[in-house]
Amino acid sequence: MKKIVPFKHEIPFKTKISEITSISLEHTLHKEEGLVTGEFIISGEYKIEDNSPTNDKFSYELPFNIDLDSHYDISNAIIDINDFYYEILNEDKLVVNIEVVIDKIVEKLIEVEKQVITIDANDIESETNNKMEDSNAPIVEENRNIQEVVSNIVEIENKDSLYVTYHIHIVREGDTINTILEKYHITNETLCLYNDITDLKIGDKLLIPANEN
Amino acid sequence: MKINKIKEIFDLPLKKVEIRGKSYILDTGDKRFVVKKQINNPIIDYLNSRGFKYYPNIIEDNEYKLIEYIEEVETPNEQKLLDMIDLVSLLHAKTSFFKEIDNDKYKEIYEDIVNNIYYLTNYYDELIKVIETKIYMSPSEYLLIRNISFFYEALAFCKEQVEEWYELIKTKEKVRQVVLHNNLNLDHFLKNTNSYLISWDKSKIDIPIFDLYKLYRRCGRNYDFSEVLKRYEKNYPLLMEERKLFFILIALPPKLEFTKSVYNDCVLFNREIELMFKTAKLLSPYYTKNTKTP
Repeated sequence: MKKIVPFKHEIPFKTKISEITSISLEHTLHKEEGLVTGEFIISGEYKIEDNSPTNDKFSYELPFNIDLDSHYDISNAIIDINDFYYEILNEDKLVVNIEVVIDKIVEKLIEVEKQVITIDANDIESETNNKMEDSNAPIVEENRNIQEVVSNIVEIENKDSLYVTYHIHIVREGDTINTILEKYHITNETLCLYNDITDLKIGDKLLIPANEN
Repeated sequence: MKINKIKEIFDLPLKKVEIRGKSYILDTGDKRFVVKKQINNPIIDYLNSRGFKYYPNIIEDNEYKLIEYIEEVETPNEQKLLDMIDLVSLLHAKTSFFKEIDNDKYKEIYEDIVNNIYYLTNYYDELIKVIETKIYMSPSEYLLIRNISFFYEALAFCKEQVEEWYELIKTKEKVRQVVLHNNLNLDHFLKNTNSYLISWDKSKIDIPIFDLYKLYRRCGRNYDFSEVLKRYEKNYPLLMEERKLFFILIALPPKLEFTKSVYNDCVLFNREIELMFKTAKLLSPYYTKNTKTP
């Protein structure tokens, strides 16, 4: 699989730019545990005045980071520049446009179908705090996402019980409400309490309280 | 053109890409290449047949041209200009041939210049009239009016010379034609142990002075052109009618127009007037000599 990531950056200059006589692009992009990181090095020469006989030099380093969703395997991916062009804005800004191409990305198969998550209600508070900090990260892993939902609900629920166990059911082909209810031995009301079941699709996740009592 | 496309066509591992004007410089780490979009111009083949090989090798030639990269040796611009003019005169000398004169073409040039002189004289007359009615002039207006006598002198000179030139050309049967680079510029000349002219896209065949004229418009203000002209004529002396036409073209004053920005006007006017001073200085030795020995 191939992905093209556009990158646009405005570089304000201290002086006027009349003309860019030359501009070059180098990069130090590399892979680092599921993310592509590095720098673009933009350098070249420009003319401040229309007719000036001398050129002035410029050089800038622009950091570039992208996180890829964890179900993409980029260990064999090839990172390269797809395209590079520039323009001058208002005579004092250089706008560089770079397209990065990440080739040979492999999509991992999702193996997780049914998970049992047990949460200690005492830990929930600290957990949620952690999540809040993490929520700034651009791509949050799938499982954590669910946990967050779980913890929010658990918070409401834990008024009368300290330990709550949940099942997560991923809707598969052939599933009906009835088969799910039967499988987990719960009632339709309980299911509705925790989930919105009006528009279920394959791959949707259902939160099912463990019926241990 | 897309970088990825270039890479696919030429199959090069890229470390660095540089854009310079319309060409791309590809750096593979140990070698550098220039890539340009192909423009059909048969002149390069013609140059080869005339034994002029001072241009970079073309390695691959299809939709895009892959050209060898010339590593340049740093030289001062004054020296570079002289080296370039040596090469240009060689180009003109090697590709020079005589062609039956096309009377219509020269009549057209003559009429163009005469009309231009007439138009510019009227234009500046009107402009001066308007400026003189003002109690307070803007700096750009003042700059123009202070130097307006140069414009009139130059116009009078051109008027006189163009008549002389036309009389001269009428008596000729053949004119010289050469391959013009047509885009001379210090950035288009590279020098190491060899000299190279690059960017031949605009080249064509015509009378030799057009290259000089364009170069003068670009570099005349910043460099001493009398030396350049001497160096050029050492290899390729201009004929009387050619030199006359060249002098007329460079002496013809530009049409200066006022815009909204007085500052920009001042900068531009100053530049043009400076070039006119330089032109007057460049031409004067040729004419003082003539009057001493008529």
